[in-house]
Amino acid sequence: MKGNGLAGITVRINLSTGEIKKHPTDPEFMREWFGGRGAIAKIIYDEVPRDADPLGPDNVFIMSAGIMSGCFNPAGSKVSFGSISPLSNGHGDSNMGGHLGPALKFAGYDMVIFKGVSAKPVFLYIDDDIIELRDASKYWGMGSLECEPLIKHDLGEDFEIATIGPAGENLIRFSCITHDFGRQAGRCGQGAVMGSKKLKAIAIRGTKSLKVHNLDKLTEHSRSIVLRTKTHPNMAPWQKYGTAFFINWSNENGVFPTRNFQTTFYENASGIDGDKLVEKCLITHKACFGCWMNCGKYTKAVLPGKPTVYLEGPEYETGALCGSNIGMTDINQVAYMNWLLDNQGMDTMSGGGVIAFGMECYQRGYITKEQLEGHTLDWGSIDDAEHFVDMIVHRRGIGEWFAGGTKRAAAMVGHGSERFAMQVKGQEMSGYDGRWAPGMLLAYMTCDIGAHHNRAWTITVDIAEGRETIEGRARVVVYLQHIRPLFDSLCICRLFWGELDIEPEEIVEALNYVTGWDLTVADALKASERVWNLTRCIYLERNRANGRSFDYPPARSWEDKIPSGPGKGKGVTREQVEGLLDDYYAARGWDKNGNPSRAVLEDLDLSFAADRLEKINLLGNPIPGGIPKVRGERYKPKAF
Amino acid sequence: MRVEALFPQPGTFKPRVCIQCRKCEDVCPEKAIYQREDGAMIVIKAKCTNCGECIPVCRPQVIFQHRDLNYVIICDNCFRCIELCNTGAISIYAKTEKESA
Repeated sequence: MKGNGLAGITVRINLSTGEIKKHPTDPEFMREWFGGRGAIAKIIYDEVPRDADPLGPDNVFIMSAGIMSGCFNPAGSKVSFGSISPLSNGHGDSNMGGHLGPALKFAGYDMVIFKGVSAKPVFLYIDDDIIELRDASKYWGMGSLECEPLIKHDLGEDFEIATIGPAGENLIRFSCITHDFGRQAGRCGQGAVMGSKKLKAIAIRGTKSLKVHNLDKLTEHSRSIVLRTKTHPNMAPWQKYGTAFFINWSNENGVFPTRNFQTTFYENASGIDGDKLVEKCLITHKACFGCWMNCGKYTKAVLPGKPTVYLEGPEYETGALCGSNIGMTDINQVAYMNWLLDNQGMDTMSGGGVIAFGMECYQRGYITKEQLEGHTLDWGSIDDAEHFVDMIVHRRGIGEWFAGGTKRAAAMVGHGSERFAMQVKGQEMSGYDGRWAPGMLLAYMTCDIGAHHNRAWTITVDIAEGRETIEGRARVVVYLQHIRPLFDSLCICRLFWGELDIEPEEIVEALNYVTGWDLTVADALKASERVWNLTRCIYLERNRANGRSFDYPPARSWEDKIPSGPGKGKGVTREQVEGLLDDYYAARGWDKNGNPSRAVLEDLDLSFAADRLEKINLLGNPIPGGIPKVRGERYKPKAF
Repeated sequence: MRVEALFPQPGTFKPRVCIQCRKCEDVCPEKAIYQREDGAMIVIKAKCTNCGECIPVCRPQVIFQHRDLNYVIICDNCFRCIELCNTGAISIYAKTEKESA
């Protein structure tokens, strides 16, 4: 019997009542909304009341293995988690590699949808056909990385485990979900949503088979991609360093966030780069399911006065945000911070951003030693950072202020600190400064989940095509915002596409072999654009103001010039920021207020969403001259 | 082959492959397993009943029993893993006399 890559069953769990129901997965729904991120967005749109608290019982929490996870296509390893984000109060989804997504598929399920709140801590137990909510009181309070081996010990080594740490339990809004001793679904506070539902962990063992439409062609297609790319010039550095490879590159190009984005060049970058990681910390390379790039670096951190700790990473983003951005000078310090935040269950990106924001507040005297329980909070001090993290995780004193992320913390700290709270829509910026990379800045500003790089990694475009140009950037950002999240919908990794010159046509070919569909790249991009517009509608409906008002970066991004390094004196102006937004909205078929027009929503078969926006007066005005027929301009990132 | 992941400590992977010791052949009640000239242990799918007698005697534990198949899977020297492995971790070599004995 021919399959379509789907396991066939969607599980719905009401945590308040303990009711578990299995439903057949609708292949038509999956085709329309593309499994992972897309299906998550549609379920959120349909099922979460617009006034529901992200950390309350009415928010959904969805785990989806999408369409291509576990199908033995290259890098088909991902699982997406989604819910209303406690950081942005809009659509939130985050994904991770490892082995959890394939395990879910092999157990026979495409998606698990949680609602309600459990009265006591539980974990989800899936062993093929058996699905149970089991008592998790003995694991509650444990660190993510400590909890995983214990659950494996209790259930069996062949279970795949995802856990949250104390941060998630204590509803710290930038908490993550951890799996496989160091793979994280970090962004959008998904760990806090799990914590709010008293769901400590997910354990899955799957031993069934998964059927695809054309196994022979899929196998041959995947084999040819793997064999062809083995000798690609990016392969060797990628395998050796993982994403830490980018640290020196980013620093030399003057986009490396340093001391809470005060500057973009870090004088100690050579102490925390990929070379040092391999030399001082590496234990073994590690790969996710079905991937030949093995970019995971399993490491240990050895620091005087600290326990020796084992972790996976630091990756580039952690190296930037828990490295240069908080002034760490040695790779072991960065690795220790990485372990600390992983184990506490905090996103190392937002976590690094929050610690850096706290350090700058302390540098400027906006928070005091007394408020920090007698501790200092100096750049590069691992003890200070560790104490500050402890205050946040346990919400002690001013830790409570920072538990909501930089945006909420700035409102409590005052002194105009919001101008250097480096976030958009409540989510902290990734590890690239946008002042000398206007495309990247626009990508942060318009990203549907807040200032995240992965939706449109435009930095390479800025570096290749000119750092001062804003002309044409918007259309490339729109294209990237369609193609990159497409991978999150399919639940495959996007890194091999960007780094190894795989054409989008090859990905869609694999998708067609898996599903038996007959899609083109244009079809897939349109499906992804539909999701993008739907997440915008979710954001507008929940936050009730013109979209443009949410799309501005913090004032530092356009008021301050870069003070040092290769980008010294560079920066964007307020006019350029406005110009970027105007270009972007025009390229999307949205009006000047940043609201989608009926024409574009109808073109994407979203007239139901247009109707709902109209009711709250947030439907975009008609676009003079009509909407662009094709939104976004295809861009092939250059290898570097 | 199977890869055992030893995490969080010491943090290594332990790959295990068929050592062609022929113990599976010895215990098979259906005589469904034989050794080919190149050394590979071959499962005759039509004869195998997936009874699992061979599983406990396999020292490296690399006989794979899948619930949807009616025969077991043993490495048959197709060398696809060697071709695809991107770190050069898998290679094939001739047994020494001592190993053969």
